[in-house]
Amino acid sequence: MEILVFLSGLIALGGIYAMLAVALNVNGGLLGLWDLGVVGYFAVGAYSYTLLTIDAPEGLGLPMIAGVIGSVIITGLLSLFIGYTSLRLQSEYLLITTFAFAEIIRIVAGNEEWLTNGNIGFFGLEKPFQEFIPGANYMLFFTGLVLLSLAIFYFFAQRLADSPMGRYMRAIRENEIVTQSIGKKIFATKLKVFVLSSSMVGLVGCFYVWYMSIIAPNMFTSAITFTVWTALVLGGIGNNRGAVIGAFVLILVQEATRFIPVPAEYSVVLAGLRQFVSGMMLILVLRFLPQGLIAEKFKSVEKLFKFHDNSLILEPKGVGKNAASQGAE
Amino acid sequence: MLQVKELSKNFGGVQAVKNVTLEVNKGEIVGLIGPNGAGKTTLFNMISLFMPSNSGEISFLDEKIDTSTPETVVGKGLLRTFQTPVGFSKLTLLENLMVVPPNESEGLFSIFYKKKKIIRTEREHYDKVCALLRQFNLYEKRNELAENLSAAELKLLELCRQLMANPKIMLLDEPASGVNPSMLDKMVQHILRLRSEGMTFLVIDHNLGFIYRICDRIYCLANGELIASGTPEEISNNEKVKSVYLGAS
Ligand SMILES: Nc1ncnc2c1ncn2[C@@H]1O[C@H](COP(=O)(O)OP(=O)(O)O)[C@@H](O)[C@H]1O
Ligand SMILES: [Mg+2]
Repeated sequence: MEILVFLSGLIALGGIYAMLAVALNVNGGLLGLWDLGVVGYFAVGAYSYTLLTIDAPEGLGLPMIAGVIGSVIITGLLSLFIGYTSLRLQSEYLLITTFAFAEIIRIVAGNEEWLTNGNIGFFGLEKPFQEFIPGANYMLFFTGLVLLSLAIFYFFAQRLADSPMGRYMRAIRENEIVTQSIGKKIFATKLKVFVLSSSMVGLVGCFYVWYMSIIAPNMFTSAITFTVWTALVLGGIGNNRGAVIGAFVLILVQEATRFIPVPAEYSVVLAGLRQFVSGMMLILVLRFLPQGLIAEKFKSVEKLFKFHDNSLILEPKGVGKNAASQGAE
Repeated sequence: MLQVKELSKNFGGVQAVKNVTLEVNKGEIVGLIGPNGAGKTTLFNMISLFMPSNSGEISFLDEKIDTSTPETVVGKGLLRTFQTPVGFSKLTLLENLMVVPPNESEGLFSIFYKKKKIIRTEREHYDKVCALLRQFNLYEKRNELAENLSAAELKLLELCRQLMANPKIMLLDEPASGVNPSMLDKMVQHILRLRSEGMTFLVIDHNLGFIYRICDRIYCLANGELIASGTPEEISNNEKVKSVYLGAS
């Protein structure tokens, strides 16, 4: 039983990272934004949820569902502000700005004690449906909840990627100037997608709070951002399946290093080993599978919507006037 | 149709375009020649509003467009191509073109509540794209990625892509460079056919043979300034143009 609980905990953590990777893929993968602010939106979502749901005087004591919705809205509004001010920047500058923003969030969380209880944070936080499911079984239930939510994320992201919007986002990723030259309003699109992706990350923040049942600023270091990006690159950027698989592989391998039996005095070395293992994996994958474990798939509209060209039989009006004569050569 | 009045642009100390005035009438094919660095591409960048000008006026269809945005002028029917076409490398040819028409389905959530409508518009665009690809002999490659095309095919794809936006006038930046003679013949046929269907062109190129073949009138630019304009015949006999071209190459 214990091993089962442990394993399911591992899967839950993997699922949380997988959701983050899917959300980041919308932004970084499909749209090609160099966004290093992941942990920032994650922290904002987690803190908003916590402050909305814990009892007064620290919080507002709202029901969990209100906390979840509220955290998504707050993260969305904040990312609207960040996006509006920084999305006109070129990639490298966007990268620095978003990274700085995430650091600011963590520092604010550590210092504004009246709001966040500083570096101590809050602990013993409630988990959803905890009162109905006793003890050891709860972890299994929670893992199920994470996986269900991951499935919804995945379904949504996949639909988006396959839709005309997904195609348009990939066009922006490939070449902004050309996309502008065909009359598209790029900035508005980037802003919409940025807010969507950040709000998704904010929502995952709630799961993280449930998983940890504590919240403190040191849970939100930039290591999270890099882990999510690593997972995405590992699995295959631009590809939802890759995002999910990359996240699970990375988390499982990282956690597996805990089980290497070493004497206590080497434990610090071992902690370093985790970074080393992730780095090595990334290098090996990029060397031998530059597209990631699963390369971005190119689905033809013909397959997606089961189109087949019947202009051979029925000549379309307009552009196709000379098609038959020209096509013959 | 397109009027440019005393347009200027400088980059730091370099005056890339100096007081250029030119005009393109409906249905014309107008050439813009000049040695490398003459300011031709810069002029295109300003007309398509990718770059602000320092002074001067641009009007299109009798409306001043100087303060407009690139998207708006595209909507009015002013399209341009790029000197080095790349396309959307990781998109298929079909996608490269289907992404062009203004599409209400390009909303974050529309795939969930207007699926029927999306399929209908996709179908319309798909038919239009297939017909266009056939015309340009790219149909067989419709499901290939743009990065797998040759340079000449990319030029054709670039032209197709901008055609999808229903241009009234098309600014072509070096459509003939790097294109072999037989492809060039096809390019000429396509341009002439499009003109006969009512389209207007302003064409930059170094290949004077190509320019003389298709253009009604030609402007010659050197060091940012217009040094000559006239029919192909006049330009080919113009001493200034000759000296610029002999001097440059
Ligand atoms: N973005 C830019 N920044 C600085 N200088 C530029 C820029 N674009 C063009 N130039 C300069 O302007 C001049 C004209 O360039 P360009 O318009 O590309 O010439 P052409 O297309 O006729 O070969 C050149 O001297 C070039 O170096
Ligand atoms: Mg040029």
